[in-house]
Amino acid sequence: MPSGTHRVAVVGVGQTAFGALPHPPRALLRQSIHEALASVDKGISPQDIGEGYLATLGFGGWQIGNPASLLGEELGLPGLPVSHVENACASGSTGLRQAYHTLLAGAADVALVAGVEKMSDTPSARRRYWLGVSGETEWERLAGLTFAGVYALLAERYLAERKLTTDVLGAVAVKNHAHGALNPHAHLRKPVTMEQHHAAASVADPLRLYDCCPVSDGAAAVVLAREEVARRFTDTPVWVVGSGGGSDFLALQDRESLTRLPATRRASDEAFRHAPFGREKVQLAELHDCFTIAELLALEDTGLFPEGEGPRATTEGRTRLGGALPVNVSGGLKSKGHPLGATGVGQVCEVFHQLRGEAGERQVKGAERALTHNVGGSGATAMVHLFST
Amino acid sequence: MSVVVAAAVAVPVWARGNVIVEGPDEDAFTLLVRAGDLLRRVQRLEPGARAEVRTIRIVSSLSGEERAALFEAWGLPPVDILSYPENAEGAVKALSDALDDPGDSTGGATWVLGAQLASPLGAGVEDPPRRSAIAVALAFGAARARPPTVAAEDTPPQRTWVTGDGASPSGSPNTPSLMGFRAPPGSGTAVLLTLAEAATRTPEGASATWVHATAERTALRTFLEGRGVPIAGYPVPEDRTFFQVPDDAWRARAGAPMASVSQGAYLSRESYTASIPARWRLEGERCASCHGFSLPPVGRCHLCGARDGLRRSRLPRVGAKVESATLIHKGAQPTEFDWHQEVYGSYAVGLVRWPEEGPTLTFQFTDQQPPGAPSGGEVELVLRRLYPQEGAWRYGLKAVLVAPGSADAPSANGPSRGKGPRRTSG
Ligand SMILES: [Zn+2]
Repeated sequence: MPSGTHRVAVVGVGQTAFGALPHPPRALLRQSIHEALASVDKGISPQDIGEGYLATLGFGGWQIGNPASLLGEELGLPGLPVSHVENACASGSTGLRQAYHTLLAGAADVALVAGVEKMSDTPSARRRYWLGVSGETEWERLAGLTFAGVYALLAERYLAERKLTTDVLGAVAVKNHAHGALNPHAHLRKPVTMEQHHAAASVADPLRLYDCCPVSDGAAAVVLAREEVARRFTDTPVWVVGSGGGSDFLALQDRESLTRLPATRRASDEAFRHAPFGREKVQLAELHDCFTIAELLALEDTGLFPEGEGPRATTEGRTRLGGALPVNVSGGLKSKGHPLGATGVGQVCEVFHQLRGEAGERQVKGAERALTHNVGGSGATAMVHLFST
Repeated sequence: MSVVVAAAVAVPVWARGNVIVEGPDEDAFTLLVRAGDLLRRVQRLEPGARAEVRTIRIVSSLSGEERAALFEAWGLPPVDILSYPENAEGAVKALSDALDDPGDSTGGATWVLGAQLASPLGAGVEDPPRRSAIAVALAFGAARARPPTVAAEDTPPQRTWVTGDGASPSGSPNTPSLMGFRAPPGSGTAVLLTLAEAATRTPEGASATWVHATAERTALRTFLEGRGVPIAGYPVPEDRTFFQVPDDAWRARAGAPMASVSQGAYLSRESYTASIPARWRLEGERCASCHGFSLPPVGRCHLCGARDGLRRSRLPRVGAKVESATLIHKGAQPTEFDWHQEVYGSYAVGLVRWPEEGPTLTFQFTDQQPPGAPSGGEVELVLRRLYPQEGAWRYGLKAVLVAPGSADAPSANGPSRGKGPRRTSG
């Protein structure tokens, strides 16, 4: 396949730190958008942007309907065509995919994708109300489950069928916290030990505190351009060279398997179908690790590791910074944080810096090809994107 | 002349003699549902008894809507319900009326149902006469009948009892009371301290008073063995393991808040009501082409997409297996379950699969103390409170573990699952 037919350029990225931040959601959004514009090497004007996508759940009820119009307002471009995209925790990557298709279709030359979520200021009861709104309502929620419980059910089966202990979950947490400690934008910038992991409070058995991502605020934005115009903005773009999506039954009870996420498998297959490289060429991956079990599932569902290899690859350090295929060098959702709508966009920010060699202490040496993976809920939706220099 | 032919007793877990469980999710409605289910089970044991219900006399202050919902829960066509005040007089009157009723040519049975939510321990939460209202009534009715036969899987000792008058807790332990059943010579019955009880009769062919103890054996044996329970003001039996919790559990239960849940993940009253056949009775559709079972039914096979050859069918409430389970600790619950979590702590939730029929559904577990994550176990499904919304309780089935399993047992089912029958591998 000739290169160019399936690629668009990332020409600028911006993101706030993730964490419990004092700023209201619009301030976070504003900061990420203006950082993204300012990061464009050769400069860009808001008027260059032809289409906008905003990813957010409007957590807590901040702005459930019509939030995308705020993109135009914050750009000083009222009138910009905008869309709100929402696929739960995969909203950000869904926005990326929409922009990718829009640009490939030639409907615009430049698109802005932003994601924002403000979660930390919500009172506990309201927060717990919202943490489950993307799960299946009629059966799962009425049985008393939120996502911690749903992922716990997956983890329980996974460990039982593979005859593993929670050590493998702990290994993911220890690794991602070690990575996050190197990331100035991360929410939890502290290493944890296996002992701390095992000693922490149970959330939903077998998941303990350090198996779960924090409740974070944050925003991220990326500027994408068609190949034909990309060089106007930078000489070193990062290319999106593959996009795949997938979905599945909303409720776990309807799924074929409890130890695989078919939505990820479909998304990954589609992304690689058009990509100029295969899975074996990927040099770093940002995988959706809202819970430690999610990273283990993703290692194999993306096809980056053969069936059955995920746990061993993790415990042997192959997914650590410096290993054969570093996973979540940003800290992942686990340590970097998970402001729902911003998460998938933030993954692109990380990959952009990594492939341009700008990632500082956590730089994967010589990285030229990367994969991002973003899951909505417990696997009802999933997106995989591929990037190269 | 009618006689009592069957009695069933649904004792909520917080009142059982030798288990320590909170039972936060039962109320008059769920207990009456349970009692009616048990009654039908016992009726089938009695050769002369007819299964049809002609009239229901009910001693409880259920709303009209709740009374109608009883039939939904039982899966029975509605019949006339006559209401009696929720006190001893009302209960005696209900049973007396039933026994005096000449019946009609159809031979259908009359059910007398009562529910009491007072603590059986007499912890001062309800006025004392209500505590044994239904027991009094059943004793009264059965005393007029022939000597009872007590039927149970393991037949308890044949003893006859008659209730006292529900004397106040401050009375002497020797006074007939809620706990102190006495057997007057030559007559009696076997009824009991309960929170929901039911009696049925047929005009013809009645031979005995039956006490159904299959499911509630523990409670029954407790009373048949004459073991006491501590009542406020009464001496505590030496065997302290016997009853430890219910008093507190009851108080906590009585205070369970009706939390207001206003927005977010929301199931409207209409949508909830429409889901009742699936949610309470496990009614779905069986596909003729692939044998898949779809629940809730949507007129299309969930597995193969067929629209023809779908047959209404029900899943059994026993025999499903736990495929995966977790224990939800404080902070991991949706807000709807805050009331539960605050009062009773962690609860278990699991995926439950019917090995024969194929489908998997999600249920909360109940009646377990301490709660566990019972993967691989076998469950029975019972109707309980889920959570309150807009001033009314939402009810649904919950799982009670009836046989334990080991954590990796379900993998014997193979990896293939979903809404259809298990595929064979290879
Ligand atoms: Zn079918």
